[in-house]
Amino acid sequence: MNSNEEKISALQLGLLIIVTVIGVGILTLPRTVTEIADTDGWLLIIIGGALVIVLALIINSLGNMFPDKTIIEYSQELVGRPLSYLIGSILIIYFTLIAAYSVRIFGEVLKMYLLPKTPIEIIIITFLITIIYLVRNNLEGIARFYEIIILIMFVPYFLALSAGTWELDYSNLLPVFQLSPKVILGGVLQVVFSFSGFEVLYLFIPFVSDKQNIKKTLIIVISIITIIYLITSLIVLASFGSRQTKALLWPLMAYIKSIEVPGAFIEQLEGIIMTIWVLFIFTTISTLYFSSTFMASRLIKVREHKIFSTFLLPLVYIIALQPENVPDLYWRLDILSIYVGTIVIVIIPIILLILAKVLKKGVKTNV
Amino acid sequence: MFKKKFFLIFFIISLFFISGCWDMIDIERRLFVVGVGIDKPSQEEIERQRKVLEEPENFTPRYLITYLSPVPSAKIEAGGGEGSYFTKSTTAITLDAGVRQISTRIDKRLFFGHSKLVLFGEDILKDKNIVLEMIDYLQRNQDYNWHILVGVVEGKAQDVLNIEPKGAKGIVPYITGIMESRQETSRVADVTLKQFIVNLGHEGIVALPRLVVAPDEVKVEGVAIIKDFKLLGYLSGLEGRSLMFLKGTIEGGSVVIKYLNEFIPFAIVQADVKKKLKVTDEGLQLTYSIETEGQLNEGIYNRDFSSIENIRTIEKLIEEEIVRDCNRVIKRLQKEFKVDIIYGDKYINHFHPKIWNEIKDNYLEVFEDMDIRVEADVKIRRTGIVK
Amino acid sequence: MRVIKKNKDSKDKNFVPVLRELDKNIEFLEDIFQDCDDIVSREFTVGVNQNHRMYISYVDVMTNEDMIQQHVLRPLLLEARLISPDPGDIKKKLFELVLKGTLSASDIEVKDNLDEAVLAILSGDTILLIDGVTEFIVISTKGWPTRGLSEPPGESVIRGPRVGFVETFRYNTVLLRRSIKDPRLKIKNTQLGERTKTNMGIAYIDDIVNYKVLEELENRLETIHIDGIFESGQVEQLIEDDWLSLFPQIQNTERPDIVSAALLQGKVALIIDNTPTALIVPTTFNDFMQFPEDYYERWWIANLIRWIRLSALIISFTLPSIYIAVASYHPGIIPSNLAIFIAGTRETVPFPVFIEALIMEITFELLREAGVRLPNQLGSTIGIVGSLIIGQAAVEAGLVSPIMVIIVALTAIASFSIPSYNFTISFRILRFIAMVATGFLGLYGLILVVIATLVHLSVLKSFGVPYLAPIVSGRMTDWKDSIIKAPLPSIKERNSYTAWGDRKKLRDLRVDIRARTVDIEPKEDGTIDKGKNQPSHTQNLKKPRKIGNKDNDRGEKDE
Repeated sequence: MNSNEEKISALQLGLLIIVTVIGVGILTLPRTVTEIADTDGWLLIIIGGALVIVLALIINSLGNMFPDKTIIEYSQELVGRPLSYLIGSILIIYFTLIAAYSVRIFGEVLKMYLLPKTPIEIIIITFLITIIYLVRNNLEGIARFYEIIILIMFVPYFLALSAGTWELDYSNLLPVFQLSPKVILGGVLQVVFSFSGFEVLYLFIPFVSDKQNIKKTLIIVISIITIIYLITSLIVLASFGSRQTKALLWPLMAYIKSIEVPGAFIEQLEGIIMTIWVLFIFTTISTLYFSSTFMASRLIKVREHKIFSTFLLPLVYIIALQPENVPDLYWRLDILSIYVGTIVIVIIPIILLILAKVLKKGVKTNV
Repeated sequence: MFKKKFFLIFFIISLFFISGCWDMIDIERRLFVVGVGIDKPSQEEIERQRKVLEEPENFTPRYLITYLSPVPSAKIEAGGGEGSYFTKSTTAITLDAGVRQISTRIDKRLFFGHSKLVLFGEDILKDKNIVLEMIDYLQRNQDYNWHILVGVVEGKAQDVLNIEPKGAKGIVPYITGIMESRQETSRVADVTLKQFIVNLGHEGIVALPRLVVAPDEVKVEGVAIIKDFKLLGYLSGLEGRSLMFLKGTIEGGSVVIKYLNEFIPFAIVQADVKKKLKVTDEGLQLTYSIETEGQLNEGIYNRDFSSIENIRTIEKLIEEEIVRDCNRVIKRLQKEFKVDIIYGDKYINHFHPKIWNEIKDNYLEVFEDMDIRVEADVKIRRTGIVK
Repeated sequence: MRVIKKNKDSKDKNFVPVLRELDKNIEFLEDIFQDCDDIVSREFTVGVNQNHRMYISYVDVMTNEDMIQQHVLRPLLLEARLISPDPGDIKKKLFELVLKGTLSASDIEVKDNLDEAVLAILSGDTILLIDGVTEFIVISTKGWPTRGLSEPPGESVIRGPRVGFVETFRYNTVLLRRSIKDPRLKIKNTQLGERTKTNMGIAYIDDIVNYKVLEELENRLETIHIDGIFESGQVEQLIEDDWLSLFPQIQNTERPDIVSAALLQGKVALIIDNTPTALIVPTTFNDFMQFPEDYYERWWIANLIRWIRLSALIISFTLPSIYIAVASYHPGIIPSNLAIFIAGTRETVPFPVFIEALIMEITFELLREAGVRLPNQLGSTIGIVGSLIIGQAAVEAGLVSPIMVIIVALTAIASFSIPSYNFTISFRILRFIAMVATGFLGLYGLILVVIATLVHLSVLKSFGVPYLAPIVSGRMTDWKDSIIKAPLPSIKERNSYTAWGDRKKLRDLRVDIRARTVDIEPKEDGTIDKGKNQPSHTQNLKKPRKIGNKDNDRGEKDE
């Protein structure tokens, strides 16, 4: 089932989660949380992050009950074959759609800021080909790639963020604690969706060599993501104030646009940040794409996932070009995350965990 | 296996060669627009341009747009200097149409990534819809940096851009240089496009630096006040300084006082403002406490600044001067302009959200009658290198 | 004196028995060596009565002829006559007498397969056939003109041993043995090449080496059936993991100190006859970025230099592409004055930026290639003509913008500052790929090439070790010697990704040096802390005071 070659460490799994989760969502996150909770958005992010930790730990404990098994196999034990096929198909479709729409967002942003005249088809197809070059490899190789790329991603990102901090108006973060619990409950799910990507845990837990460390790693990793989200949205909010933040399509890009680099050796920062941002999206989509092909190969019980990765390309390409414009794209993405996302992230893990406890299946672990 | 890879690579490469490079514009084919001036076109200007341009008859051009660009080859040979910039003007119905129209009259593509300055003529700011349009254009267009500077010209922006100032590389570096020299003058507060856009979001109120045209020279002094997306009026340079005191953005400049028949300038090194809100029976009472530090650079020969009493007296005089100036400005803002550009709303919103929720709908009316007080605390730290 | 009997295995396919009749053996050999005029052979008789026929054969000049004279022919022809053993006995014991008593050469072997005699002769040994004996003697008389040990020109150092490998296999193993005097340093001999029969030594340290790597290397070597091996590069290409990859996966060096250091890290070295270049496996990206001086100089310098090398690598990979991207796609990135300046300088240039950059880069590669092929004196002329005259003329004619010349020159300098030549070449090729991609898609194209390169690098393995180790899938302790270099005393373990078994590199028994040197000055009470070496019974004794004793000045004043 799992040969020794395909083992990754818990640390690598953690890095994979970081680079997968942080992607398209961070562009709009400052606006999303400000729309829901005004200047109290930071509170929402923290609560959302805590909720995501709980959900991730549920998936982890499922994975620990059935070591060596991915969701495709253990859901068979819990809900029977037909339903497990349904769950598998939902996951595959979900991953594929999210990947496709993320590719489209990526293409739109890139077209907006870097290549206004280049056809979006070319942007998408070159990107997908590069992704296939990565996902044709095994999990171990991908994990290694993420390890090296994470340095190149986050160092410039934080440098750019901090380049503008000298002219921030921190009083824009006030007032605080104006939030009613009702708003929090209503909005927290939307924040949870901005963490989407961590559900690839369904697949990768059996391939971790040091399972006892996963729990700790997950808590740390999701906290790190929460902190990165927090810093980003606080800086954007401090820069624009809540009113303007709500009005911007991609507040993060607008913030980067407004940065005047001290020393003026770079005139427009956005060109460089866009280039770095390509990496963020690349990692996100690669993981989703890999998960999708990997699950498909598990579902049909084919050992080799490589073949699917080539077949999926035209499919993702077509889906990505479906939305007519950016609002349509975001509307589809919202629908997808509200309905399918809730099922995948919240409902499936809770039901499976309850079933596993009730049916007393799986290996008992003290983790 | 190898064959497949080879074909894949071949496919990708041929893809590019067949379709070409869409966005490639070599750098010398671009025209770097460093300054943009937007005016309301006069009737004769419209007529003159009509001869050159083909425009739909039934639309009257609403903008007169002036682009200032460097002459690239002049730049290297002379190392800058006179004649190294040129302007192009066009009338247009919209700002985007302006870019298209200028493209038909110049062999290069306009590029706004290196713009440094956007100037508005006085007249164009008097029409609310046009201001709204311009903001939207500047905001929505990804070409413009958000850290470029914005100013209002008392007169026509075109005239300012056509000036070739002496002793400067060009008009744009000249103006931006003045605007950014906050530490020297304290008469001008530079406003970036981002601040312009963000502040306008609040009730359409913003204060922009004012430019005055003089022959062969531009003076950047004072503040133009925009309310409800319309130009309302100007504050003079001195009033601009008081405004900066109240905003807490002052970083330099001086306050001159008369002490024993002598004029003594107090050079501001640093200043800060603290606000305090009190709810009294008559309404809200907002107190601005200005704290400033600085030094005396000039007096009269043999004037002894070393006695503490003297210093105290001078400090007192400076404080009175600052408070008097500030109060005058606040009166004008409250009564004449009826705008709050001294961040009172922001303060109440951020630190007294409950009060803000009560008054936010008719804040400007509340502001008009608000009891605003100014206190100043001046510290003279140094008195130069003689006694 | 070493006498080994081996290769008795008569089932060998190529087994040609040594016959009792000397003439038939001679006939066999001379048949093989027909028309090989460089083979010298001589038949002679030995003994008081001159009744024992013997035959020697060797390759002219390839052998140490002095040695043959002194230690083979002279004992047999002259000294053997002086002794007169029992004549009846001599017939039986002749072979043993010759072997143990007469030949004064030290390295001899006894063999019985004439086929091996051929190889032995061709390898520079001398064979001795004796009439009536079914075995023959191989006397190691290898000795041919070699050049002296000198510093390898491609890998010169400011500080460090100035010695490099030479073309002689044995000299090279000697250099290794001289630096690692440890019986656990093993050097296994094998031969490669169906016709060239090139000698090779697999060197490793027994209790550190990763056995999987060693086994893998031996397995891969066994699969090679090639007619000839002349240089380690051929072996490298035949045993590397991914022959489609742009990156070298095996390190080569001419410096014995690099090989020794690698052996101590648990790596395996392959030393090949006829070439001064040794191979080291497994190799990672990191190894190409390092140089022995990093270890000989203090760690600050090493850190600085490593970062400079890394930036040089990035510059040589991306700088022309960044120029293309900025000049023809995103001029907004650079400062306004620079953008206006570049636009001004390009006014007269007739080519698009992309074509201009390609032409200039190709011109530079041409100049470089021409400079390498020409003798030294001419090579520098080419450099001057190329860089100064052509560059100057092109700029003045307005064919090329001066910025482009600066970019190309910077790229060239950067690519020269990386120690490993073959590694630089990978990035030279990648530079062109990146330039083409940037030409079509701007910065986006560049980042796609960078991503693809990183993907390739992270997937690549050299003998099972990830190419990017220890930055990826390594322990944090391994980071101490990667793109950063921790102070030498703090690197206490060998790299976990190469070394197995004994991992301890440094047993640091030093007491903190600073703490020890504090008390060289006398204490206030006049005692001198002699540290550890002070005998315990003297520690409480006060030093006798003498007025005017300089050492005590401070003590006196304080009282």
